[in-house]
Amino acid sequence: MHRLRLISTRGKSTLAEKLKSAAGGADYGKSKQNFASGSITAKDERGADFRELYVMPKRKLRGQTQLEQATGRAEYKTRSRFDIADRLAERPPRSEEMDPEKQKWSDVWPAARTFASSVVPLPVRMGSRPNVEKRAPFKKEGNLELVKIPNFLHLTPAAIKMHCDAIKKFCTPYPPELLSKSTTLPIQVQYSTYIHQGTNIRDIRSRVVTMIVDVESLKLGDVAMEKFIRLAGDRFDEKSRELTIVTDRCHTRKQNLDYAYYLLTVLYHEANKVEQWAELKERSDNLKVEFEGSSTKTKLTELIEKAKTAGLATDEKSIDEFGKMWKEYRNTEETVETTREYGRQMRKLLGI
Amino acid sequence: MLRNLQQVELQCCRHISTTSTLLKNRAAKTKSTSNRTQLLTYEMAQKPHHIGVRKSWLTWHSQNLEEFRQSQPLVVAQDEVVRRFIRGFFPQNLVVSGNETVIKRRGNILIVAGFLQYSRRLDIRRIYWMFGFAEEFLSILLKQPVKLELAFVESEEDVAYNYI
Repeated sequence: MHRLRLISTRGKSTLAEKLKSAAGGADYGKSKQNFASGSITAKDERGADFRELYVMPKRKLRGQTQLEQATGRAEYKTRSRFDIADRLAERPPRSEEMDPEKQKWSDVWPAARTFASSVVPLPVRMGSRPNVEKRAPFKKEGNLELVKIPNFLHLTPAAIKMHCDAIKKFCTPYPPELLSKSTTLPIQVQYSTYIHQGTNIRDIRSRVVTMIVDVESLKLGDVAMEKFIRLAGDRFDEKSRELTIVTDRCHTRKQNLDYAYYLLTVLYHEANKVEQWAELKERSDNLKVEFEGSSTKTKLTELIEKAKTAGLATDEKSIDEFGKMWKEYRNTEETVETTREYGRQMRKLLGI
Repeated sequence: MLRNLQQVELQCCRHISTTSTLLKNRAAKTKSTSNRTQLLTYEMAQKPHHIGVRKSWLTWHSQNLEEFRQSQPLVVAQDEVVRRFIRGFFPQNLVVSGNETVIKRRGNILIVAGFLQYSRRLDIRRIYWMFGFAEEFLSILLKQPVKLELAFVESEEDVAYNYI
């Protein structure tokens, strides 16, 4: 009941009110009927309703009041604007009130913000005009181009210096080992962090970790090195002697970095292991064609012997040099230069 | 049944219009008035091919750059939501019917900039409330902080670059 009453106070004819009156069977709508029938009491002698003839409303019409105002018969009422209080409270722009020399600009413009012409005390203009001599470029106030462009008014040199001074106490000195450029650290880890504009800060590419290891600093023996290279496959770069491990199979960067270290550890220990079947390795299983023990060498020594007996001026000492060249020739792609070098060395060896 | 037959008959009688179109509608063509009363803002006065040369973009984001996460359709839809909301929420304060709203994205923040006017009604408290409401509403809607950096000019004449 209480609730019903509460509702009925809000509007004059709510559903609850109608329901209430309907339930009571009371004289609902009587007042409305009276209102509709014009004057309530007026009845003529026969008892029928007397309705007034409508000629004109019982108030002064607009034209009438205007006429009276114009002729001076009625007093003209002037009204102030409804928002006069707010219009009076309006202040001149801040840029005019401020004293640019005494104030601290970083307090006025502390963070990145859209250009506000009322705040910035600079006499700037922006925009193109066909003839600037005739008409100056568009003014500062209401200039959308100035609003569009990013500004660096919060990054004045003074503000940057202030920031640097504030965070200086958190800084530690730069590691002195890294100051000298000659020292190359054995392990190099690379990853990327991505910044986006949007609601999501995650990027699937940020999990990828690239680890570059200087293999020479692992100090592996010849056998272990060969096994290491075989295990590493194309992750090992022959020229720079670097091992590159790219891990991207885990969800986070931390996991991928851990995995990269795990792979390196496993690779190192596996390379150092010598299995029983490793003894069975033959010459043809070598990674590279060796000069030592090759049929070329045996044939060459025989040839040199023959040449010597034939009386040619052979150069036996240069066979090591030839071997070096031969190894390179056999293990790299053949070019005109290497072939020419091969011939030159051979001629020198045989003394032709 | 009969009606269906009639429809089929009607469709059979229709023909395809093969009139060539008169492509006379062009973007950024302004029509001058005899007494030079048509207001032109800087944005309107510059032609579409001047974008990036004389005028810059109304939307600033990194989604169309190479190697960035590209979800341009989302951005376009969001822009439209924001523009329509601003247009509908500040009907008395719009300049040039709210067509020139700049939307900038910085980090996860969306910044709405542009101009509003107060020539019709200046109610400072109401404006503050509306700014707060709009920021809150759009932040909840777009799931990211939205900042309104709309500046006020006295009337539309303040943004007029030219009258033609």
